[in-house]
Amino acid sequence: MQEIEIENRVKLARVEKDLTQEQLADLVGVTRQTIGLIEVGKYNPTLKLCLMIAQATGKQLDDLFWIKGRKETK
Amino acid sequence: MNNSFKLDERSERINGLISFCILMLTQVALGLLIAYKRYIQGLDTAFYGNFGVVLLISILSYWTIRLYLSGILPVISFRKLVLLYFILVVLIELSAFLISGMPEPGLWHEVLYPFIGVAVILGFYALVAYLGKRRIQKATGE
Repeated sequence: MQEIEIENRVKLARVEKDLTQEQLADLVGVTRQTIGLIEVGKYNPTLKLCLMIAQATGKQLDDLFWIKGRKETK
Repeated sequence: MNNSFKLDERSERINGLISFCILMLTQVALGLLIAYKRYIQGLDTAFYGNFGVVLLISILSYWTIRLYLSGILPVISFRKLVLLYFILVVLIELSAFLISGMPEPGLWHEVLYPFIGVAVILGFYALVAYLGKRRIQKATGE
């Protein structure tokens, strides 16, 4: 099985848009904790949430999230 | 600051994971309880039969719904199903005969159990596999 490492630029995009975690969370309908975990790469959001974050920050999806690497796992 | 309690996709994912773990723990605990009552305490079925029914319903309904919703069970053709049915019945009847010999004349109906049991299990499998596949095909417009 392959494990995919995903990286993101959500924090940068949020700061560029001058939004707090709380404000972005409200815009996309999740909790501040979820945004915090996404920013540090501890939670992989669904495609729906990725698109909503991209829309809220005015970015393209692949500017925000990309595959860093793949690891083989048992 | 917004302090209202909010359930988002992460909370729902955690809920699902916790529910799964607790369900598995409950099923294992019920199984252990039945084994304890039967083998350690040496009690009669009347003392733990209800737990067995609950455990069976829980395991069956969980896996049936899960396999139906995921639609991953391979659909076996009718010919293969019939072949599998006869192979399983022969194997079970043969091993039962080798272990316990022929049943007493008054208990002749025990010979029928593998016929009925295998038919129920394979029929159930075929139904879940077919309905699960049809559900996915409907959703994808195939």
